[in-house]
Amino acid sequence: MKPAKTLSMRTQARRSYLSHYAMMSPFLLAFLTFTILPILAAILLSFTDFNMLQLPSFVGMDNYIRLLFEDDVYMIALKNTLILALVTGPIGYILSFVIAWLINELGYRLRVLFTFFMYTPALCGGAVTIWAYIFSSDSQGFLNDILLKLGIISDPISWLTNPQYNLVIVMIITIWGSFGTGFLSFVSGLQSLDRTYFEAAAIDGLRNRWQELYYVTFPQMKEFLLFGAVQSVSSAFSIAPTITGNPSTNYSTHTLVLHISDHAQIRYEMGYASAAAVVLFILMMAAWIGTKKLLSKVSA
Amino acid sequence: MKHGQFLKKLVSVLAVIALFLVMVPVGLADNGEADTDAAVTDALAQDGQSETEGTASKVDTYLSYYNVHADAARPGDVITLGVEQVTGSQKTEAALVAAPEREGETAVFLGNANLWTEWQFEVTTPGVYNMMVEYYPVKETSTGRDITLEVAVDGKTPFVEAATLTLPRLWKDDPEGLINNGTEFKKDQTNNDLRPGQIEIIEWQRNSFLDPLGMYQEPYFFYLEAGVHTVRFNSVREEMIVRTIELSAPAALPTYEEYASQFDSAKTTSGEVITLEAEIPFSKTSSTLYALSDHQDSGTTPNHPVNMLLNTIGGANWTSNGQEITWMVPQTVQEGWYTLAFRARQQENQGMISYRALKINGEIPFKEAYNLEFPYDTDWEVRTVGTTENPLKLYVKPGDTITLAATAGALCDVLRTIQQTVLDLNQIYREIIVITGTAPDIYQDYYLEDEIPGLKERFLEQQAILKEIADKIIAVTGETGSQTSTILKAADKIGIYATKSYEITANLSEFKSNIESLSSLLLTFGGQPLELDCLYFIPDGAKVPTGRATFFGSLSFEVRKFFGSFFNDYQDGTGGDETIVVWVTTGRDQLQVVNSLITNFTAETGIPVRLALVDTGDTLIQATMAGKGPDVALMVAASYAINLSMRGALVDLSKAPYNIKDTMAAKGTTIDESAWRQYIYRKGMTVADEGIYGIPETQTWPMLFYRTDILEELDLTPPDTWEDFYEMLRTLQGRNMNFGMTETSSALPGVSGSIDVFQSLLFQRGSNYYNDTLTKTLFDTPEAYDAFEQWAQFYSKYGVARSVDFYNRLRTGDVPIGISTYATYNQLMAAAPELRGLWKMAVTPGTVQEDGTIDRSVAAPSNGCMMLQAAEKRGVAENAYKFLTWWASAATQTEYGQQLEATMGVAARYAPASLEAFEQMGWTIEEKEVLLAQRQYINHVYSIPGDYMVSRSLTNAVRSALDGDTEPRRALSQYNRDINAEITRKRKEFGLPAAEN
Repeated sequence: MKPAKTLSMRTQARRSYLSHYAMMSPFLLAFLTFTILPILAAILLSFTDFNMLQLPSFVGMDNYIRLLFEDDVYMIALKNTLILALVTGPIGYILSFVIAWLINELGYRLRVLFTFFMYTPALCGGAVTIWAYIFSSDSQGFLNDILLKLGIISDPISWLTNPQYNLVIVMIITIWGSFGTGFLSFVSGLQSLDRTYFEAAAIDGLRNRWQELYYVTFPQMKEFLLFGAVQSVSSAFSIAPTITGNPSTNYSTHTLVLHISDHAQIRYEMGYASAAAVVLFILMMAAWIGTKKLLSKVSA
Repeated sequence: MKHGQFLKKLVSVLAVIALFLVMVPVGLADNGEADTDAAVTDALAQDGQSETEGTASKVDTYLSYYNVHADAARPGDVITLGVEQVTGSQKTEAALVAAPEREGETAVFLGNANLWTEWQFEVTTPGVYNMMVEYYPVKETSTGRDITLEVAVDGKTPFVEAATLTLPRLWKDDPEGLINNGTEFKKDQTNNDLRPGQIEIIEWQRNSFLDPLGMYQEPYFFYLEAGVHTVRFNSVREEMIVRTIELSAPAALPTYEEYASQFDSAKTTSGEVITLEAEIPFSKTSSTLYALSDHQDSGTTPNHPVNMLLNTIGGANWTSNGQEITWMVPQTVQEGWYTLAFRARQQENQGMISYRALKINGEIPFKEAYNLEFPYDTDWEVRTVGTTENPLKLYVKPGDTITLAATAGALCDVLRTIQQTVLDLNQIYREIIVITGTAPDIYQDYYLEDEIPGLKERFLEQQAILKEIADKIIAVTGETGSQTSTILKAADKIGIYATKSYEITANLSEFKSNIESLSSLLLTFGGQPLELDCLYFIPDGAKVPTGRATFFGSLSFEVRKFFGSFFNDYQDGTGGDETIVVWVTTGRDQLQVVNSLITNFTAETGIPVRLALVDTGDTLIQATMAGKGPDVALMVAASYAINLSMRGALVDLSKAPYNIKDTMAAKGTTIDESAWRQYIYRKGMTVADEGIYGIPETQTWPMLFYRTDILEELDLTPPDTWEDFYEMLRTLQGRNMNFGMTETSSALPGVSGSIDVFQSLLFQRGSNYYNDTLTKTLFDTPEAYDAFEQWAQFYSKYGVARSVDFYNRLRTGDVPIGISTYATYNQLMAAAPELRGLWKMAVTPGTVQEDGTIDRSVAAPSNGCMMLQAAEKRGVAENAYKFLTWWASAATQTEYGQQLEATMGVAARYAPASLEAFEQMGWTIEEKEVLLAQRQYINHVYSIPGDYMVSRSLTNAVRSALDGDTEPRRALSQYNRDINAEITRKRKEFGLPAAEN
């Protein structure tokens, strides 16, 4: 009897690749149009002078030179972003993990409840305005009122516009809202850990919870930690506090993203803003590669 | 071990001693109050004196007047005052005019030509008399607002409210907007109903003076002793012709039996229930009572699953005491006895009942018709006159009119009590803060019971009153709600304050917020909102309709609605090359008005307009870049105009063939230079290089707002010059009050809230932001340094509060005066009912010049409209220009402003840039005077490339002077460098000639 017709290995492989690509194509299309293309456009525009109403004109490296060497405000923004990123990034990340780890101990209902409470600030972006009331500079604003009554201060403080205070306040608010998708992934990740490893480790002679955390939990959580780190890094660099005003008094809470939006929307200098965006992009890539290297060492 | 124990003991003993040493100075601390005690007690004694004369200093409020005379006799006499009783007028020649529509009679004219008229009469029986005025509105000068007068008896106003008594106008839907013999509304291209404009019915009317807040069911009455009296009517706003004033006692209403006995009881009726739709009434007393659309309930008639039909009337706007809607009984009704029912919904005030008075042919037929109840319900309910089991039938015939009038309802005395309580509590609050300040030290005992005599008793009294109020409300409405819990909470707190006065200082702000929430109850309780769908005439034997759709009926409605939403084309059908595209950023309600005005424009000129509600900020820029922008944009901030014009996106309207300034002058539109300036872009160094890229639509300027009662108490007048201001500030601060000039606002933390004050100070010194060639700032001149220093020192040296919510603090009274844009007027009028008559506007303080005159220059920002280059490219520039100039002309702006206010009330009062339109807005004569006085001094800076840097740097400069302790002059010069660097950079970017050094 003749053997049934079979496809060659290569055709078979190509056919399955094709079907894989077909299934990915909707997402790929959207990703290409809304993420890749704008990045390419930004890179192109960064070499031009473009005021959004007239056609762009090529200026070469002028934007970059001005950004890196002549713009004092950019340096302030860079400094603020780095401070905010270094403080809120790791703190937010570690806090997310610790809280997720603690929540993991609770029963199902309580866990759901607490996860909800911690995640909601990140979910409803508009809730940030509640801080504007707490830190209102009116003498009857929340915090001012309490402090005045306690006698700690004698005049109301303009929290959000005073350069001495507003950066710290932005840090607090950012950490409050940093329990985002990274946090959720930790919670679900901790749920999915293999219980047998914990039992085995207990039998093998674990001394306390810290050892268990370091030797058993972390290695299993590698992917989740990585994901959380990506979230952390990208959100740390894209902090754009508008609660203190754009621009804030003396640029005290000015960050890279705010700098970009200042030049794009208020000054109509799209080319310059694109250059700043490209620099931000490079910075974020660098931070991301660094974080990845660090994490692979930790959970190896 | 012994050594260790000894050490521990030593440490603990030292700790105790240290603690003791710290406590002693704290305990013995001079509280600082001892020195000022004497002064304070004196001030308080003065306060006490002026307060015993009543809450208003010289004239009673109607509240006290009413309480005194409520039980007085109601004589049966009727005294009619006609032209023969007139004894004097401001201008006698203008006072007597021919009575319209009445051959051969004369009547009294009250208006701009004749501001007051006096009548004289004799009273034989003393008692309280109602005043019923027979009047005819003057069409030519009507701006649509209620006619307002001041009534003085024997030379003085008997109570405060008599200074602003109102008489309503009559309105109806414009017949042009109705089709099918006035029974349906005109439709638009997508077959939705178009709301018709409201036009006034000019005819003779008879009305009494009603209380607009709904605190008194009866009209205002006047107590008259026996003898000769005079009554004078002073015109405050709007003009009218008065034929008679009838003084009679408020009559008692007949009982139902008395009413029924007037008619033939045998005239029974039969047949089907007759439905009369309520949305096209015969007349209404306010232009805000227009038809609404209920698209949700399929039981509402008429309805359509896809198209929006106007099928109800009233709603949230039908809420003030006295607002009436009248319908005519249709011809299909037989003459006889019918049960009358209303399909209505009260879903605005939870837990409250809305009341309506029923009138037939303008008279209330019987007592029970006076307070028809419509309780809160989210569903539509059918309510009969009387109860469903025992309806009170009415005798009607075709041609009769049926009226429903919003009345104060059964809770009006509760409202009065709340108002008095709020005034009393506010008084107590002000007496307390004289001693403690607005942020008292909670560790200190101020001995308030000793300092303020009778404090405990006053609190206990108020607590009892509040509890009584809450009980009464629960009794009437049958349920507790958020309102009653507010009252009970306040009552509890006050009870605590009565017994423990130290609790007051610890919770002073809570006390104040309790007062505020009580006063906002006046707004909720006084409102009687009701939405009406239709009236049912139910003959004998017919069942009262349920007013609900059947289950399958509503199911099919919803299904059809769902599918219909996919096919309904919301795009405007008009197209063609002539069409101009107009974008506007505004609210939905304003859009309706704009739409109706544009329909008129198209009808007159034949130019089709496609109107779109789009953000005219960033979206405008992006759309213009993409080539999809509009031809004309309305209501754009002036800063956008300049940014767009710099980048070549706007058309220069000053050049031929436009010549905008001439065109506007030809259209009788006077716009101040300070408004035009904000739309000018100078391409070169001189005025010749300027172009005008927009037309001002609105312009506002700051005014001084102040509490008349508090300033009178403190014996102060609004400051005329800045020197007076400093004097007044000292007195205010001595009473722990402050001045409203917010520097830091939570809404916009990035920009200083009082930059306009700095601008004013700069103008008043004869300086400006920029030099003559607009190439750099003048901030390095002595005038600028002085102005800046004065500005910063308001806060640093003179203690003006940096951040105040002026509107709220004006209400509580601890910031009784402040400078704010005159739009604050809208806010105060609409949302501060307890302040009626207690606040005023005045001109802002100025700087005395060398020649002795006072310069009160202030910055007056503007919003405007503009034409984009897209119009020229598409070849519709001529049409677009016609539209622009039509829109910005005084005539259209007047109509727009008046209709806005007619539709949305005084909260939407418009601030047009053209003088003619401004004068037509609903200001009283006094308000207009003071606004125009300030308008003489309005000014504004140019807009130049890079000027975003100016407000930013000024904000940073003043804040570094205030927070960072930098010396003001140094701060300004530091930031001035930044500004000039940016200006130079921008000029280079746009190829403009640089400044000469």
